[in-house]
Amino acid sequence: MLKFIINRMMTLAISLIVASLVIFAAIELIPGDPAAFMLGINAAPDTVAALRQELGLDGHPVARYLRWVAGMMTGDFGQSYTYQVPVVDLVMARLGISLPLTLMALVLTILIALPVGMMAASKRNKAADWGIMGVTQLGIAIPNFWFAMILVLVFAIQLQWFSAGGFPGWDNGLAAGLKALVLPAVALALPQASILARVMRSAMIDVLSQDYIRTARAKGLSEKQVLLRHGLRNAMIPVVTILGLQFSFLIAGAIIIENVFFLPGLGRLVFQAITQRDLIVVESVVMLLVFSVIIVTFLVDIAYAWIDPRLRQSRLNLGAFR
Amino acid sequence: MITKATMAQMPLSLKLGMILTMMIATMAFVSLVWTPYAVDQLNIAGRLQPLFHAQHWLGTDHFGRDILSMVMVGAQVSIAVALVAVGIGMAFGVPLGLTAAALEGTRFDDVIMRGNDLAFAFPALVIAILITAILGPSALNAIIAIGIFNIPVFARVARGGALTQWRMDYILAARVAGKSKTRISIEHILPNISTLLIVQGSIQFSLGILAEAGLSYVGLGAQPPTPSWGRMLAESQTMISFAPHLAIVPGLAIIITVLGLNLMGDGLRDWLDPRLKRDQRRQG
Amino acid sequence: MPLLSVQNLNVQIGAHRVVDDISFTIHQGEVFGLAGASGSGKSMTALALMGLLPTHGVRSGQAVFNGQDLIASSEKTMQSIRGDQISMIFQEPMTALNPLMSIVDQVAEPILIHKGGSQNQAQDRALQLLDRVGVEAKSGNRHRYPHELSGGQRQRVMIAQAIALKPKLLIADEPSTALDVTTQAEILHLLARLVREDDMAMMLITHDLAVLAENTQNLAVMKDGKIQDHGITKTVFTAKKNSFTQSLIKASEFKSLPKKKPAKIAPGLLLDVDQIVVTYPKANTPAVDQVSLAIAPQESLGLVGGSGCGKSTLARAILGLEPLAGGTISMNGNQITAGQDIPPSTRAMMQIVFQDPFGSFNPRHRVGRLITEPFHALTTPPKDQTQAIAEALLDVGLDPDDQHKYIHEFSGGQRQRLAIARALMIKPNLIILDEAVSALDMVIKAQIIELLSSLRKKHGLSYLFISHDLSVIEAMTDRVLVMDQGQIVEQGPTQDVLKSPQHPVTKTLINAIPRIPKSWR
Repeated sequence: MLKFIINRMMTLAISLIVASLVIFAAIELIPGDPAAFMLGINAAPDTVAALRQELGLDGHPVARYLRWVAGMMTGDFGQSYTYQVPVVDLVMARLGISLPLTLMALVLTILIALPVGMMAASKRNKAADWGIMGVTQLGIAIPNFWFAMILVLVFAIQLQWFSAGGFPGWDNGLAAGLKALVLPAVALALPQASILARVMRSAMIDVLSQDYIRTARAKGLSEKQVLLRHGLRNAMIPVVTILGLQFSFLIAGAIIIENVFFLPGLGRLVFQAITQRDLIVVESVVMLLVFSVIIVTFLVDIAYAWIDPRLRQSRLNLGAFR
Repeated sequence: MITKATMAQMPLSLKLGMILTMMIATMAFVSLVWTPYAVDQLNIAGRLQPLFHAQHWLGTDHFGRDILSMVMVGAQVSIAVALVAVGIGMAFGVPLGLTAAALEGTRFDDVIMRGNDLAFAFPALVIAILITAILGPSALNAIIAIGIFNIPVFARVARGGALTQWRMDYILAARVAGKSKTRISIEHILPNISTLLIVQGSIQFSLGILAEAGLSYVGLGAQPPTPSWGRMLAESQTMISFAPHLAIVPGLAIIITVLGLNLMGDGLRDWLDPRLKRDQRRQG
Repeated sequence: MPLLSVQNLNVQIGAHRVVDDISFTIHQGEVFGLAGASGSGKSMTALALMGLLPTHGVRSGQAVFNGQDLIASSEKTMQSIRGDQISMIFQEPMTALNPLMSIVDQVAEPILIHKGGSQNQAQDRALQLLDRVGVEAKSGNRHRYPHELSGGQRQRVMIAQAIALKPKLLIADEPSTALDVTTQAEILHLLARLVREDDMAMMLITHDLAVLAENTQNLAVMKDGKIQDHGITKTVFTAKKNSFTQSLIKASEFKSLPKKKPAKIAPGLLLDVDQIVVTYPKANTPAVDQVSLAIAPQESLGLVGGSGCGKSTLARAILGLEPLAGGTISMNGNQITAGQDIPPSTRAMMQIVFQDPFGSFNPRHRVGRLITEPFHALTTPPKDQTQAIAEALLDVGLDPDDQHKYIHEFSGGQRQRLAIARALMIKPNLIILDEAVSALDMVIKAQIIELLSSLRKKHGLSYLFISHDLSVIEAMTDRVLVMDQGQIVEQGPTQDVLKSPQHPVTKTLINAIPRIPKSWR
């Protein structure tokens, strides 16, 4: 198991390095001179030169890349050009909204999807199953930001249970903060929960048709024992795979949903930065998003090994047995 | 060949999905030559007309533009972006996946698969943010972003499907006949994973529609004056309390398109898969 | 008073009656055999007794076990009986164990479910049971999981969990069919020993009459859901009353084959394999280790060995599909060089027929296109191939019109005929038959073997016949090589090797074959 984790950590490190190279190349190398780009067409040459120096753009690309990576490791993401404050302060403040939002949506997704999927599997081809399959089919087709707008229309404008947007800040109490995130989290979670519930259902149905389930029945286990002792854990393998992929959709979704609810999260920050051509902020936020997806992929890999003993040994080269 | 008999065997979901998809596709085609009103025709006096208005069946927006016309033209954009993105994904992803499978266990395969894993860390939106930050927003950039996102998906599906085929004895028979790996990949492997690719294609198509809507909603997609469903939603947001139909109509257009494509994909899989699987089951 | 008395049992699946009004009894300590081809209803009989029919299956009749009618019992009662009073072992050891649960926990499970007690006590008991069936339950400092075990070991784990509570009746459904012949014999001996020691009754279900001849006291033969023949095992074999049973016995012995006359082998050398080595990356030992063999024109050479001995790798190396780490192969004097393309003229001299009649063809092409694929190996393929297709199809006993069909329209036996037709298409000198009849039913197997014999005579073919099945080798080959762990351990004329084997591996292989006693024939 330890060998497996070390192996995965190596992959993690390599992934992070390659990802940072891609982002660095995209932002700092491709557009030519980022300083000129940020200032626009009409900037005076000496202003551009001053900004170049301020941003540390005069060095060799390799030196700049190393400085950028070293900076990130020590918590220094550089200086925002438009806000004139360290990027790390900007990002941290916004992360305080985006991260809880994504996590809330993730928890909601799991809490909705797993029971619903299991219920559909156990009532296979009955009315409840058909109903669940229909609703989830629709749920997948609904764009999350549109669903968010409908939620605002119904729960904020018509029923006035929630405010239509904005964020009171965590200083005004945990409850108030969480309440402001409820509608966005629901809007984010519904389509993903629909997908996951369907995965759960088909995984469960697939597992229940396996030979080892028949073996368990032949041992005298009741249906419930069969399901809990043998079915659930095996069905979790595809579910965890999909859940890992869904995290990146949730992160991307959160960035869009924040716009619907005027939440001052990473999404708002990055879109403003794009219009203001604040490349340093864009670069940092993108790196942060990619970083979190890679970390989650790593965690999913570890979860696999925890569920499935076949993966705990370091990988066999199956190609050799072709 | 699709005969009457095979039509009868089609699952309901496939039929329903085809009907919905055809509906939207027809709408997009018709809009190429005709729309009820020109989409750039402003009419401030006749603005914010409600649904089921005598002249404007789906009402008008805050500039008095005909919503039906805009939804029709918006379908063009959505379908074009998603379809081209699927094309990009297949054109690059499938050869990569096939090559990786043919060279299974080699360094090339390893690099492709690791690169693939890494590519999944870049959601379409993040790619779009990167591209837009450099090149500025446009429908083309949305296509590129979604297309790049599709490549690893198709590479993975093609490789997985191809590996199963490579283990079959009929491939060995072709190798005994002296056929090269390239020729086997094209002649035997590709046709046998086509079902997988078509099903995945319909899934990626529907994801592309959703992604395009999301991108244009946040302003990273098609730019004015080209109408797009996502931007119509963005513009409707401030008016949702007094003109909800501005939000509901384009939203339903997205939902119908995605639903149609998803139903079609599911139906196709159910319809085509058992025929391939039935053989294998007979062994048991 | 019998332990189990089945009266007028019927099983209906949908509109299909799969078990039709059968009756039999099993006594305490008895081994009862249930024979029949696949689809004869023997497995459904077992599942009906266990109350484990598929969801749309309906059973009726009476099955009194230990004073209790299993058919009339509630699901709750059946749960208390399953695993405790009656246990069952299935055919597929690779899939019948939960891959995510350690084998100790799986063996401990019936104990925990039926007797309660602590996890630790149940695990201790499970360790004893695993020891009894000959499975090492621990590796390093932790328990082992199914994927760490071979097929034979997994089947032992299945047996351990089945006998955990000393059931009165053990149902074994093709317990050894999926295993290679030596492991098969070990599993059957283990079962026989456990049944004797624990005084269990066993219902042994198999298509293999020889297995039943060796292991059972009484048996019933099923066909199309009905019992065709029934009685004391020896009587069933010797009385020769029932024509269906006789046809099964005949097929299992290849009696239908004309007695082998000494083959006439042309002089000279067709294939010459000299000291070849094939290694796989990351494997400790070569898959094929310094193997030499020669095949003369029109000779049929057998290659036997257990699974994983390297025989299929050797076949692929001869076909030029595996790079050689050493040695040379030459075909009719032309060398086949590792890593280089085989010249078409040499390639056209060899063809292969595989084991799996379902995976051997691309399902998307029609038969005509499928069987002409070897023409690719010719530098100048014939312009009009219809004549060649028709000839090849007639040669293997199929209709020339079959060329327009798709592969899924054919049965397993017919597909194997098509595979032979494909191999014959370019008139090769050598056909490699890699377990070519192993996946077939007894009766069809005998037909294909007959076909191969006549084709060999007609076209002057050489065969390299690879099999784990010695009875097939005996019927088909002039000379035999025995392979073990990548090396040839024994070789000689087939009759001599089978009659007086010298190497322990050969002896084990021969002793492992279940046989119907000579005196019963």
